[in-house]
Amino acid sequence: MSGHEQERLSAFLDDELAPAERAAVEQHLAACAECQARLGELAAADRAAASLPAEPPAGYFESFPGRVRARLEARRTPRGLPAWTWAAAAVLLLAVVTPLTLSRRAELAAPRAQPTAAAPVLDRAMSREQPAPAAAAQEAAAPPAAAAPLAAVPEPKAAPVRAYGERAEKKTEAAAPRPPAAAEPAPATRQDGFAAAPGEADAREAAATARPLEPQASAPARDAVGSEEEAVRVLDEAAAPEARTAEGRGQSKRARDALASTAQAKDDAAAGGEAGLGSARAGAPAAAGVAASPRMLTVEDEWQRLDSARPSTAVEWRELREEWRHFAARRPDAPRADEARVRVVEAGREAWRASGEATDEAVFRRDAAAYLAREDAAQPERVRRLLR
Amino acid sequence: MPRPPVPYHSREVMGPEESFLIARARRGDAAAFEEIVRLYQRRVYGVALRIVRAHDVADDVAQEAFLRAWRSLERFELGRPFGPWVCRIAANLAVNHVRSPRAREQGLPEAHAETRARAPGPLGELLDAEAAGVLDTALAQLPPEQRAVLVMRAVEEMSYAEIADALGLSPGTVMSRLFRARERLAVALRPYLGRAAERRKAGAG
Repeated sequence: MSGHEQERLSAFLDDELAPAERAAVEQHLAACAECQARLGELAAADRAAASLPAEPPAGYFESFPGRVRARLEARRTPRGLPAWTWAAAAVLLLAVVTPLTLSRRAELAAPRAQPTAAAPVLDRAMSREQPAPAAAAQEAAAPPAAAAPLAAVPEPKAAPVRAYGERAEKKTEAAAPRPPAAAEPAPATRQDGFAAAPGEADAREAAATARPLEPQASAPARDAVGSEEEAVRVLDEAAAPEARTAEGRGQSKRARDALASTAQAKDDAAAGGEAGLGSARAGAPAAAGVAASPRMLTVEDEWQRLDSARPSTAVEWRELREEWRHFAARRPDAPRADEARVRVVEAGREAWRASGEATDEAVFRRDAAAYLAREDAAQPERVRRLLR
Repeated sequence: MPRPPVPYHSREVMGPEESFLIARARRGDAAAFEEIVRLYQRRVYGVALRIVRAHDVADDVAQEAFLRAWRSLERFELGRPFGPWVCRIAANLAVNHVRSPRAREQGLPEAHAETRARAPGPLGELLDAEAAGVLDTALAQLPPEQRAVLVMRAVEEMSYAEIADALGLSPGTVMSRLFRARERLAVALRPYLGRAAERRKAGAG
């Protein structure tokens, strides 16, 4: 058999011959024991070559993905848009938002004892508002109906300007560290808030949301309120339309927080995309400045915002983790809630990777375990992989 | 006996989860890409090691293959299997490396600790440890281009057209290189294959 014919034998093995050639080889093979043996040898060569193990040193595959990632992150620029567009957007945003935000902040903080307390929160607010600069500008431009009367009340601490729901939680974290679990909003409460709620339900929710903020209230403010029931009453009043007349009655810090929280609830509702303007109007007038703004972030917008987030530090990963948590908690039945819950675990893992801290690891493992314990977990394998 | 004709790309079906990871990676999500790397690292490293035959070089090649895949993700057609695509990149890089003047100067390790059979695996039935050593040496002595073609066919089960595309060859060249590689291995293994066949007969009888 010639070299060329043997080559055809090899190609026959791979089923790479034209039908006519193939038929010819088959015919020859049927009659030629020698070629049958040759074919067996060629096939054995393949099997032998494939069966030699190709093993790296122990532990290699554990670290390899991380090393690749470190390299690609070292030289990355944001995908999709050229780098300069992001820089330009950031500059434009700062130019528009900073004066507006600062003027509003001055308005809010003028008579207060510790105006600096608001600064980090405002900084964060600005950085957060980047994905929706137009909306942020509108909000900042809208005159807050209740801000002026409230500003007249002497306060120990400046209230933050709230644009997104989570800021209240962040601020609390900054003011009084507490276990991460406490940062989780009660899903049921939030759910209620998102249905087009009548004013009272809104106010109740505001009260419920306000309670975790209590550690912030200064001692004198707490005294002024007296009891929990009293606080709720004050909150209800504050949230009701006649609350306008409540100015000058010496509202407590807690009531202020409640108002801010009502605004937060409005924002959350807007972000949830389910709150009609009717619901916004039914809510506290204190929130009108925010709620009446035409900003209606849809779930899709929120998703896009979180999905496109590119944290680079442990702090940012933690924030993203909590935002995904928030997203999932607000929409616990939505199909994408499952994905959001996985993202919580993913972001948690990244936070841990970035910080190397045991607390981040604990949160990551707890979130992963909580996900895997869910009956409706749709992607357990993905989370198990994260745990490996 | 000949393999059933199965097109390479239909042998692997990309799961929705994987598509989703790739879609995310395309938008610049490094965490998603890391997961993709985790899924395919063994294959990519295996292809690279079998061609370059040195762990350090295979490591470089595998990393570079994934980095290139990351950079050209936009060109990757969603829904197609990612594995063959990244393996082609790796094979191409590995061949370019062994063809480079520097690699030729240094020479290739003849016997390679990482690829040598260490325990009776699937090969154990076919060949003993001595035969595995002979096979390893025979592979090391193949011209790198032949070895690359053999690895892509025997390990990755790529079609001639796919191998040709990855290495910039004609399908005819792929066919002849593959045959020569197989023949050299077959010659080296002939005594052992006979022995294995006798052992099987003895075991059966």
